[in-house]
Amino acid sequence: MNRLTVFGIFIVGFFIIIAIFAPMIAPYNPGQMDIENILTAPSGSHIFGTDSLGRDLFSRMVYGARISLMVGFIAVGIAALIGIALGAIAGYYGKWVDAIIMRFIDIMLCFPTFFLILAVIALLEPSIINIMVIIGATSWMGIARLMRAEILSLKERDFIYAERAIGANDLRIITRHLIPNAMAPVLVSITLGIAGAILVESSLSFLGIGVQPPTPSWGNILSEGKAVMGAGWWMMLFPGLAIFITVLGYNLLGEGIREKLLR
Amino acid sequence: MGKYIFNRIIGLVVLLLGITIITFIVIHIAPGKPTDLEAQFNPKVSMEAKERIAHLYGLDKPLYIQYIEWLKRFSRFDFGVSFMDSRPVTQKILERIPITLTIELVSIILILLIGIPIGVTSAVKEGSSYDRFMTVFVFIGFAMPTFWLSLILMDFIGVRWGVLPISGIKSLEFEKFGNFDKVIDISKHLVLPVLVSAFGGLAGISRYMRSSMLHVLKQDYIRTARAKGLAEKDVLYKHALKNAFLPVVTILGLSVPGLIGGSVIFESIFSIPGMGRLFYESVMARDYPVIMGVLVIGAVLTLLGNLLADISYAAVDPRIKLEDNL
Amino acid sequence: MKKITDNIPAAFKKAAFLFIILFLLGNAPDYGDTIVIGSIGEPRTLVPILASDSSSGAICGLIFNGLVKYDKDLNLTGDLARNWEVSQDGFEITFYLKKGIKWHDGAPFTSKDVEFTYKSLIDPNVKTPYSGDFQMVKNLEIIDDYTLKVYYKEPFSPGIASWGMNIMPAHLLEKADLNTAKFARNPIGTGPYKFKLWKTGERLELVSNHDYFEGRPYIDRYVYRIIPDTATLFLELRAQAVDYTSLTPIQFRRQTETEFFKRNFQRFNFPSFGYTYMGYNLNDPKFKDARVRRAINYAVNKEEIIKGVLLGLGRISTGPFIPESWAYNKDVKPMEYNPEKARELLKEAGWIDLDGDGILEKDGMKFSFTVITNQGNDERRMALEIIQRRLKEVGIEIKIKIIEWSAFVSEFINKKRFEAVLLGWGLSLDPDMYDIWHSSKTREGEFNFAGYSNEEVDRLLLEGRRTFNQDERKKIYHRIHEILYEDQPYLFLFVPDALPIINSRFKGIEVAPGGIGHNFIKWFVPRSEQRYTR
Repeated sequence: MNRLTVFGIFIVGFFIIIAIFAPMIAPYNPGQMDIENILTAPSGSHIFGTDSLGRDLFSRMVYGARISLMVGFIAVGIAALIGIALGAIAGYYGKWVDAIIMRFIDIMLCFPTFFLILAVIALLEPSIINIMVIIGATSWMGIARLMRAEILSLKERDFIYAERAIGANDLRIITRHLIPNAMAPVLVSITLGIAGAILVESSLSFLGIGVQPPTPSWGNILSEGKAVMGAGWWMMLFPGLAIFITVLGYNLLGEGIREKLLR
Repeated sequence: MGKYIFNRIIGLVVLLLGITIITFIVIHIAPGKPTDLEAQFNPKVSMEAKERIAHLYGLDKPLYIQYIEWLKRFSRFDFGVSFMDSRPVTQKILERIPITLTIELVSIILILLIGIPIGVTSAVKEGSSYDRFMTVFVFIGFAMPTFWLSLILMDFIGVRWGVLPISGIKSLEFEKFGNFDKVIDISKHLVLPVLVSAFGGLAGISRYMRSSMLHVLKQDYIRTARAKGLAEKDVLYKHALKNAFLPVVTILGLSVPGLIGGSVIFESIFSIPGMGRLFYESVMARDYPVIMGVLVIGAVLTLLGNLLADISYAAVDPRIKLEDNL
Repeated sequence: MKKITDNIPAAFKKAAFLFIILFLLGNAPDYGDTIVIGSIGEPRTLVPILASDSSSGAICGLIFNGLVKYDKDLNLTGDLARNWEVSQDGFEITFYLKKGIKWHDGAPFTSKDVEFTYKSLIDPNVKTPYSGDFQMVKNLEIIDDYTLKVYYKEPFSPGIASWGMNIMPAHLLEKADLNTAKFARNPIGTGPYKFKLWKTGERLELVSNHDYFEGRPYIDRYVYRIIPDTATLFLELRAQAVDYTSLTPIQFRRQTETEFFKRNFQRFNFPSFGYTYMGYNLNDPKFKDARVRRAINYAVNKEEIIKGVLLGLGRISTGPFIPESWAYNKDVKPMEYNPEKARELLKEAGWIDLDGDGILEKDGMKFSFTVITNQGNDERRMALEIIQRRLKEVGIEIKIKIIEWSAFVSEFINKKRFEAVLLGWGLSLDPDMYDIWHSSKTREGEFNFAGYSNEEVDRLLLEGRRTFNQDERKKIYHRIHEILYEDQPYLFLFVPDALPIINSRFKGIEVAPGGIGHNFIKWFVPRSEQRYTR
């Protein structure tokens, strides 16, 4: 295996472990304020320093890993579900079903993702769930296209004809045979999608419509850091690095999967 | 071919109509009204005044009538006037397009100039430490949150070292400069934004180029060419490269709408008065005519971009029959 | 003869005084230089009666004048008007205009312009949000070019202040449709600065009006730069590409405490014209009992919020008036932070923790409610987080919900779909608060969204509007202040400080109850320090 892929796996695994064991790793309660110690620089008692309400930045980062990764995973999970289902249906049934789904994808692609996100967040409210749903619901089109293309080529293969001949129904053919065989490129897309979703959340936080404080996410910690720029370098450095390294990790992992599966 | 294009265009018009209806409904059912921001929660603003303003905007009419009125104007290429400042939407959009277009074009050219060689050379030296270094390099650009990188660069290059202006697109004395100085001034202001945006976009093109090149290198005709004893250089840069370029060209076709779309975050951080900010501000202010204008222009460009991509694909690759796609 | 001799010492004193001031300053004010203002917002329109955002207001304020204005001590004084008279019964106001004032294009300013502005304000086809105060006017009569009479339907003391509305030139706008007039981006006024250019999304430029009736401003050029991101704005300030902007408390206390900032900038802090509060939905059964609202007031430590959120740059607010104004009742003392008393009061009101989960109950209902606030305001969010913690200590659970502004107003406030709300009111200098506190103002979209109703307050509010004598009005508003603090329809939290920062080359800045803007035309830069010399 490629050294970069190993590095990617290491990064991804490292942050997942941090997210899972957050309560054990974080030395403080991430919401615990200390008005006497606002924006103190990293020190022995607060290794990443404190934020503008005197909360321990390290603990917030650790819990933020949970939120940020969760946003990434669930958003992409939703995108994958929609994309795989619609792509498979379009590819398998073809004709007018395909035409309708493809036109729908065209329409979706005509809207700037940002507009859709904004409209929905305005309609509902920027809760974590809504943010995950909306990122997912606006990023499935690529997966659907990949799935459709794979299925188009797979469904003419002999083993599918054989399945049909023995009377397997459509659902079985699609879920048992077509989708598993078409997953390789989709898997790459999913891995990269997680990185993308983490970045989208940080952009939304920049505009103030991401995950809402006090719930910490890397995105909103970073944008709080931006507000105190010049008074607390640690507030921008650590969340920025965390996002950067994680996104890099997922990209390297995605490349690794691509090399492994698509060769 | 002619008939195909005609059919596609008819299809596009229908699609466009659908898009305008959906957009219109979505923006009007989204909570909030243009009159809320107009008033900014000022107790001196009475409810009667708000209702009167809503009436003057035509917001008290049923939605379908508002839509039909919008459509009538749109058929004359008139997007109406902005609720925020009563200026024609077309004018507001047109004054924003040049700067966004300039930045996007310059950065795309930069991305191509740097990204394609990186992709090609990485493919040729697949698996080498050069390849790995470049992989990490382009992903670093992709993985850095834009505003984070921008602020760091602005702080060091703009504030501490004072080499380049921090934000904006012109100096305060711009109007008094000669033409040459004007160009220099704008260029100085654009260095950071273009660099940041190009760095972020490098990964896409270079990775695409790399895999396209790798794919071509594994084809039979390359092996044949090598077997014939052609110089490796000729094999790579005459035969392989030409073929590897094709998919990249279509990718470019698809990025046409992005050229005028701009990005809110990027434009906010660098104080660039571009399309992204116009759109964001009008959504936040519920400035319906501007939102509709930007979205419809964006949709038209996207649809045209798709069409162009399909046509050029077909022109390049005779195996694809156009009729299949409809 | 006597008069003259009397005046000699006075004139001498004046001259001596001026001389001393100039001596202290080191040199006489010089003309020239440019002031660059950094702002995150862009004006929408420069037609003053259409402008409702603060950026438009700031620019219009330099280009235009009203008939009256507030001086540095927050007293009404003449601007375009020399003086005014209110008739005995309060039904008529007569304005005497200053003579010799010219529009920037040279045309004379007369009472026709005032009449035109008034007619535009009440024209149903003009998209002005300010028609309210002028609906009280029965009619306006021009006596001559420099005298006019305004007849009111009933005595209306806030009416005088409402004539601070910027007056627009009749000769340029009479035939135009104000809503779409080119004037909005190319205005002509009577003010100290003339409009020069507006590059959308970049900047506006004004140049000084050498013929201004209060004297030529010292600073020649005024540039209003639009920098939408606060972090960028701060960097531009540090690079000294911006001369004047306002700081956040964190920036004030931490980022600008460096040697560099102390050398190159002057910072000010004084109470702003606004206060932050938590308003209750008084129709909600939980908040019907005033004892509960008082308990919450005891349970929340305002000092702590001011320290945590504003880093000490603010003061406790006890009522809805500007702390420096005559209407503010300084005898209303803030209740102390006292969780014990809060618990007692809550118990008295029947709220007891029966199931031992730390949250009080009454009639099977938990004391838990959601406070909403608008997205994009960190101070409000942080204040809520602190309130949340303190209320938990007395057994009240609050949830925080942050909503985008436009949706916040139309879906939650206007429709009264909230339990409590954290917001701020900007204050106008006239203390009339009829629209916020009168029990008739509770319909959808009106400003008494708390649903407050108190007969005495209703009566006093009306009386305050009908009374012109400031001493009598003072008594009325002081009483309103008392009742409101007793009733606690809002949990009054704090008045944040305004925190402007200005490059130190600008001299002559004077802090007064009215802020620092009142003598802007007297600000100057000594020639040796001027930066933008053409």
